[in-house]
Amino acid sequence: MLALVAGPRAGILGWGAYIPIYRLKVSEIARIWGYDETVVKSLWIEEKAVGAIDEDTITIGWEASRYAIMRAGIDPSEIGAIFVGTESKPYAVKPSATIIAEALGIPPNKMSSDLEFACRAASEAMRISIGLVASNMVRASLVIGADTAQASPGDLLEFSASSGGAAFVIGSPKDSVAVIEASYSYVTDTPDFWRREGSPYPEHGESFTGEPAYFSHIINAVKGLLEKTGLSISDFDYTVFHQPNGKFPLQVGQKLGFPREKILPGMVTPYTGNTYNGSALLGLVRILDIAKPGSRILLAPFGSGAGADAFSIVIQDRIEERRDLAPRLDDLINRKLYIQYGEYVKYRKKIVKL
Amino acid sequence: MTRRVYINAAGAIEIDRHFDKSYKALALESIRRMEKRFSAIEPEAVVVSSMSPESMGEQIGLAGVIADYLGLRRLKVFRVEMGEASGLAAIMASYSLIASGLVNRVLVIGVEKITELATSHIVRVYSMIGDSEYMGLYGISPASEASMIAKLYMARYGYSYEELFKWPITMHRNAVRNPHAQLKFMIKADAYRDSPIISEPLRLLDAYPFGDGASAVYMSSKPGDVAAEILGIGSSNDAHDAVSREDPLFFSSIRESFGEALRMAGINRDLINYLEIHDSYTPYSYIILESMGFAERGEAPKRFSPDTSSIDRVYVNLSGGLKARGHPWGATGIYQVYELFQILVGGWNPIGVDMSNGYAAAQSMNGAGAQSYIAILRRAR
Repeated sequence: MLALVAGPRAGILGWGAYIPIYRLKVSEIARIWGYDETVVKSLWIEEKAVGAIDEDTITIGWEASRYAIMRAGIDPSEIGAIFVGTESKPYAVKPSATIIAEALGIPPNKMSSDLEFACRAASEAMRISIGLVASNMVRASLVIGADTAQASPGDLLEFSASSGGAAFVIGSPKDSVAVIEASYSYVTDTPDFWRREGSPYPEHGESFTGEPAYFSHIINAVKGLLEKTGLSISDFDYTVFHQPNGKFPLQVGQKLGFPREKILPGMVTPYTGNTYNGSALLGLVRILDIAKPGSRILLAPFGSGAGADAFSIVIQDRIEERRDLAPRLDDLINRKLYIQYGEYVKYRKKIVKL
Repeated sequence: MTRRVYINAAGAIEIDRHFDKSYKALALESIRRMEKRFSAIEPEAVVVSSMSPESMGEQIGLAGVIADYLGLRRLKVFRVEMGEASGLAAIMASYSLIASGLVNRVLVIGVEKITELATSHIVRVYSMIGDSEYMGLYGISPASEASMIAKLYMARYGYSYEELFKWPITMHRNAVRNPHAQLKFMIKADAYRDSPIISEPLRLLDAYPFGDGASAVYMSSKPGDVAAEILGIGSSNDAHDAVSREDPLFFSSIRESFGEALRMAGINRDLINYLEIHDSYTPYSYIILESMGFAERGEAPKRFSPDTSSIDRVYVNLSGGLKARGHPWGATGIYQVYELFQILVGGWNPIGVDMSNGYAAAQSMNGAGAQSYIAILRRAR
């Protein structure tokens, strides 16, 4: 087995994903709003998942958590903390985590809260959980990244904003399917994307979301991790970046010197749209579904506002026996029904019956 | 008898998305670049060229604010605005101040902060260069006016879109050699295929990019050790929109302002060997060259040589032009003069041809030739 870098660490006990069944082709959005096809092509998003009218962050989070717990093989009562990273809370005030916990049968003696940091709140929840587990405060922590992302009709964001989520049970590295050997965060005050209180849709600084936000933060987080661990780019077999579209991860990979073939296996957004807090974590799920024991993964989520994290994760032998305990991500991606723009605006409540 | 007017120093910053710099900070940076070569800046007047600091920076009286920020007091301050042609209009105003004897030394600063706000806002403000009641209200933006002119040009003279596209390719190649250009990258002959349509038939690569910039020149009545002299300067206007003219494919304001500048300089067109023109959209580049008389009507696409970026022995837009150097609105004319200054006295020689003893001209306009300004410069002797 691969020699791990030193430091307090935790592991992934189980993982799960959920993608709603409905898909909207982005060419349909382009047709409705009169976008040139070159705009669509440049983003590399083929279709996006659309949550049904009765689906929200809580139902999505619950589905993904159920699969994660099935793979972890633990009793829900062993979970001492549950965090939901989301920017589309069904309730502005009232935690989503408590509803999901109750529905999963996690007893009351637990930590529980929703975290908000655009697309990287769940990633921070993962770092918090590493601390909780490594310090023995809790035996296992459930991290959920789920969203039903909003986009103003006609905005470029509408091509990508989608619904979906991922969940991970974090626990002792001894029992894990993948050891999180190191992590690093890089956060600044960079207003690239925001949604004001009471606003239904977010606003963004267009190209400002790229260079000074996405690229700068991910590059700094990855470099920080490499410096901290002494690892180099060639030590990683797979790389997963936050995926606001299909283009940015390949570009940031190129800037950092990661070859495309190490990035492509973890690409999910081209087939589901950007699930925000699920985005990079679903990429990790896709790798956990396929990677051989001993593989080392670099995971680098990003959230506007802005911050990025970098994790080094090493796959363990016991992963093989856990994979088929729940549906794989590709099964969920391929389970789909196409809808038109009209159904989409109804399901996402962009039109309402008076 | 008017006095002779010289440009003693010039400076410019890279045109880019300067997210961390305000109008004031951009202006200061351009002065710093100028000061590297020239320390004795003691202006009696500050003339600021800026197209829309009200809409983009919520600032009126920008010249006063910038002069104060630079620590300059007890002098005359003006802002000059004539849409996209503000830069050369400011040069003309400054020229008049010195030539008339009112002042001896003028600091001219062109500055624009475009990328602070959303593209929809930028486009709305840019569309104000047209007659708002006659065009803007009906959704005719500068890009759609340019697209109508492009269609007419192609139909009348029998060009395909691809035949006109050699202009952007050449401009991008030129910009690679220009240290202050915004788009320092080459594009391929079929790059337009991946470039979205902005107003059919024009694509994104037919238009200038949005960028922030600042450029400054120091003008005076004395040549000093080394300077460029403004030998001629001309200006003229036309119907504000192209379709209200006798021929939308010929910009009379350019012909008239160029004739005026040539007469003032006492030279004919054949002596010009370097030219910076206002190629905000691909079709305008050809129409400008035709309106200046460097090609017959409809002939510029055939006469323009991409290999040497020249027409009729005149090198054109070695900076990359508005297309690739960039077009920070009110600053653009000052960038053009900075580039002329660099070619004539600054030692800039991007193509290995020494033009320091030649005549150079800058052409700027608002919209589709609604107003035009042209300045002719030569190394002072």
